[in-house]
Amino acid sequence: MSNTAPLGLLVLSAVRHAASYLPVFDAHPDTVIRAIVEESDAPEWAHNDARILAERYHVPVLRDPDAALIRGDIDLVLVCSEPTRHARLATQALQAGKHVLVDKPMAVTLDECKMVAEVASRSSGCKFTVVHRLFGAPIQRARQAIDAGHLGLIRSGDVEFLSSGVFFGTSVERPEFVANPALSGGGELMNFMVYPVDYLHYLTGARVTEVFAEAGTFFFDAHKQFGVEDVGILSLRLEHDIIGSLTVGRIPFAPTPGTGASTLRLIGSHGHLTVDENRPQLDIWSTVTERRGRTIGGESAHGTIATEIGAFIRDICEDRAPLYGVRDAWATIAAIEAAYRSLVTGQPARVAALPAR
Amino acid sequence: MTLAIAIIGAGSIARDHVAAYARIPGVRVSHIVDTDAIRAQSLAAQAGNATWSTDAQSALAAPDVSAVDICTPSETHAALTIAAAERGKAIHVEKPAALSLADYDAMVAATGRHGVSLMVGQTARFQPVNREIAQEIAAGTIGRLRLLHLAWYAGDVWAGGWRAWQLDPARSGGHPLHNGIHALDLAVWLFGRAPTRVFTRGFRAFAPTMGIPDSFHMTVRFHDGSLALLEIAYALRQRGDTLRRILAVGEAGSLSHSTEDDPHLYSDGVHLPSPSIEDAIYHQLRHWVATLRGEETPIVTTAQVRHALAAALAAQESLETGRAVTVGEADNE
Repeated sequence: MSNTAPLGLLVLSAVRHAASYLPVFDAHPDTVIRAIVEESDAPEWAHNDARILAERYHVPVLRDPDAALIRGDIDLVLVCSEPTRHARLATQALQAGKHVLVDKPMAVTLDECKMVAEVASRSSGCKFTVVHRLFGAPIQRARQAIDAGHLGLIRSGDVEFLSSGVFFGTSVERPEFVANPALSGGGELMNFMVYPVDYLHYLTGARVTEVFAEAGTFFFDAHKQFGVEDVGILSLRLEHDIIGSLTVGRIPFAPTPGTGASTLRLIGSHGHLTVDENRPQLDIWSTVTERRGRTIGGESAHGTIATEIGAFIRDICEDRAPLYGVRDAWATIAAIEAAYRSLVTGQPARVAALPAR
Repeated sequence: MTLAIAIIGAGSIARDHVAAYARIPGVRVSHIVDTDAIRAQSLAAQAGNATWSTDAQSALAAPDVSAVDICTPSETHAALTIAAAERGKAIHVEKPAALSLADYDAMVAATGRHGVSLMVGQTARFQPVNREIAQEIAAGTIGRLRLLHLAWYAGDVWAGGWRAWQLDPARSGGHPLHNGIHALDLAVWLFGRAPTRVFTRGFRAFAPTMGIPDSFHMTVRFHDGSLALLEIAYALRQRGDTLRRILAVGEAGSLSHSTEDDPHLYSDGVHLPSPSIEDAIYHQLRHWVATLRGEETPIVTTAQVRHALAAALAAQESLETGRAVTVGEADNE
């Protein structure tokens, strides 16, 4: 893609999803993984994670982010810590003049969003994006239908985004990452609500302006232990008086053979459409495997991150604005923040508006 | 012995009831009453030359009538039910049973006082998919139910256009009461628990001047914290289009169904109901008749209907105020 040297990648904390993101960078012709750095005062398990991945990719493990970030052979930083460190580490990388991809959620408070946004606006040469799932083929297909006018004006959207708890031990290597607020910043609304809110904004063009939330802790010991929700239902108002509804969280069995179910239904003035990120699906009935089906074209969740990383590298090389920027992440986290306020008051909460650019 | 039933009201639902009774052995529609004589006469002819009238009292007084099926606009349900009870008739009343809890309580009290039965036509319980979901929940397949998500979408508008009484909230009670009661009753039945808090948001799909939103969703919290998200939309563009989806999540598993997976007829201008939801009114009225004969135990209890009604009234208040509303009158299980 580029005639210049490959982009040097620094992994700034390598816990949680880093193991699934790094193969994409490793395989990409325009990036080279240079090193993994973890903060010296990070917990031992974080250093262990860094060490394991460093051995896998034959790169050094560093313990001084400041020193690592000033290296001239580092162009791009992947921030992949637990969520409560995302904003601070992303800010640090931007201030060092690096391009940044940060795992979701970008931040866990609105103050953190403001901080990242201010630094990003001063770092105009740096590309910045956050892990999202908007490149998933089903979402792109829906957006194309909407852009073609097939739905007319969208009036309502419903998203069901549910992860299967039977995979709790394998899809999230440590349940505390989503249940311990000191690491996660909240419960499953903080963990998962970014995706459905992103979908609704991306597909409708409208921001969420008001949220009413109900949540419960029904299914998992980790969530009960830390007193956070494992599932929630939400009523949204979006601009243009579009109404939205969400069912979000982790349940014992999401209604899909895969690890999680993500479906949405949009009703427009001139048509409606349904999206299922696990369909079309090939049904499997076999004595050889316990798998009951496979998504035709691959699971959206897996394909979308590779597409996003590829697009972000191209954004950097060709000086394009990423599909999803700091203000998109901020607006989504503002909706999540309103959801948590609604849970406290038992009433709908206005979403804090972003300041004008 | 043939059961003679008087139907009060000769609108579109009454027509469906007449068609259902024709399939139930030992049942005869003996009277049709409507304030519109032509409509009463027409439906009476379809019912096999039933006696028609514009005066409900004449049918209620008929000695050969042992049961009354009330299919009139909602604001008349209470008075007609009480009048039928006073005549000693068994009563089936269309949903919503009443426009207020006070009216509903008076209906239940009157039927109790006169020793007659009262069944409210909560049709969703009789849709095949919902009956089977209830059976699986009762069998313990998914453990204790904690989360329910219903999406009921249709391309629809009420018969009568701008004359439709359903568009007048004073007559229908608003859409959360008129149709939301179906979803709320189903939720109350499946959970077996009382709603405590409701929030509603809606929109008017086809005309901003509609008296009620034709599309809305409700969040429902039950007394043990369990949750339901209930969506009802008439906003699909094509009349007759249907999308119905249900997800029930328990502590040990989930049940889900979508009409997208049902076999369908594809033919110009014809929309048949999905097999998973078809024939509910027949099943509902067949069950009512069976309860009157002592052959089946009533599955629609007046206590559960009251919980659903209280929640629907709270949902309408939420729609009007934009606030979450505590279901004040709801009793715990």
